Amino acid sequence: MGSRKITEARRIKPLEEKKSQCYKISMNFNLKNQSHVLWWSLFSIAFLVDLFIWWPGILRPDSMGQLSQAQQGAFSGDHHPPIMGHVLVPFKRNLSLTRPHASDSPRAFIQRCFLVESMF
Amino acid sequence: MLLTHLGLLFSAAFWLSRCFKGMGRWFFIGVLFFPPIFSHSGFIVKDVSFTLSYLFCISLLTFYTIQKKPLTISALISIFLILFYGTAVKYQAIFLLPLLSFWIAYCMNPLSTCLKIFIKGMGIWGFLWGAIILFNAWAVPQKDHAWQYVKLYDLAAISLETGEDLIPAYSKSLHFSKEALTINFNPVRVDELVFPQNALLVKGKNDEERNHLWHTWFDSVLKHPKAYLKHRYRLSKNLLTLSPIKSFHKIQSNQEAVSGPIKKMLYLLEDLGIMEFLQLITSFYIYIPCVFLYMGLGWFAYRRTRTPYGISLFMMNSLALCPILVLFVFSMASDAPRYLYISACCFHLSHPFMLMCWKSLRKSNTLRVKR
Repeated sequence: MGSRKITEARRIKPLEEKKSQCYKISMNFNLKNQSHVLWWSLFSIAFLVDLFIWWPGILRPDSMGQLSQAQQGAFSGDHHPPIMGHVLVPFKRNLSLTRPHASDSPRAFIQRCFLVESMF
Repeated sequence: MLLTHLGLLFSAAFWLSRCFKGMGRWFFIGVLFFPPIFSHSGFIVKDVSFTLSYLFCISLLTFYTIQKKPLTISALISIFLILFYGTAVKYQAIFLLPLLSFWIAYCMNPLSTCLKIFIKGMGIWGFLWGAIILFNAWAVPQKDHAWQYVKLYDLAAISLETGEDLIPAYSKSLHFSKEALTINFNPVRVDELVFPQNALLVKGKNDEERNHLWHTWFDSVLKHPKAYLKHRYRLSKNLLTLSPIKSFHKIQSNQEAVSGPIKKMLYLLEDLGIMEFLQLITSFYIYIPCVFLYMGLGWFAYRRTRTPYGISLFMMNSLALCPILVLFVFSMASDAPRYLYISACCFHLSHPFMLMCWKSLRKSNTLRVKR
């Protein structure tokens, strides 16, 4: 009887371990959990900071070409896939302004650090 | 468009963070500002669109792999839609699609046999590939067979290396000469040979010429494998050592566009060696041994302990390695580090998975040396 209990316990334990490893790690937003609130706040701030630094995005000459092809409705062959051009068209008003910032702000500084490749 | 890109990036980080408890979650906030990932997140180019779409799908698949739950219908639909966009936006993505297709097939039912997963994966791959071919045929009825640029570039490189003229007559323009080829040949990109108005090389105009060009290329590669591999190695090496951050001292043109204080700060950063450090950590070549190591660790951890983190680690690093292999054969330029943005993202986001695999191996006593 005793040995049976031990074997059952041996069988159940790894299963429980597996379950705890696999199913309890999902994180849902819980306002009562301070750690969750802090994580979400930082995550949202990180998103806003990233958006602020790069807004409205940096277009490369390749993308400009794709956009103009899509605007004219004439894709010149299969050198560039056409879908990017189609996706860019609704944003064309915003994208025409897309270039690195020329001011002295910290945002411009960070952009300059990482965008030297695209600027020169 | 930037919002879409950042939405995909942050959603990917969110789904990956859901696979961890404690410190693991915080990693995925910090890593988004790590230079190799941060440096391209503001670009609106097809390479970034492709990378972030794939990253989103990878993160969802990772989440379901770790949870050991079958994919829900809503997750499956979103993966298909985003994967379609990500693959259609860049031609080379089609070579990464099989890996993701098999992973999707696994996640649809993790308890399936290998054969069922293989068949399902092939089905998913065929379905997505077919859909992309149909879309491209609808959007661009007239093809210009851009693949010929790669073959012409290879032929030009082999010709220069061996001194043998391998370029077919119909691909030589009026401006072509051996001297002009030597002067205009750029070891890092094809552009100077085929894109200017007075280009030296032109593509085949009909099916017969295109077929002949392909056979000429194939025969030349077989005849001169050393010259071909040397050219391809040089191209890949350049791509791997590139960094998006360039030295400000070395750039001569357009410096007046940068305002005074910013220019001063950039020079200061260079003098302090910070830019050099950033260049080093944003070049992918230093991570290549780690990619192999992570793949091995993931595979070993899964085989020994059946940890789902092993599958994710192995798949993420396979997806990091795959573009390098694809570009080794198919690239016609290696002048932009964004071509390997997906490799950088997959590798750097897989660090916590490596730790989990290591932990599970230690827990199972696999790493303990028996005396």
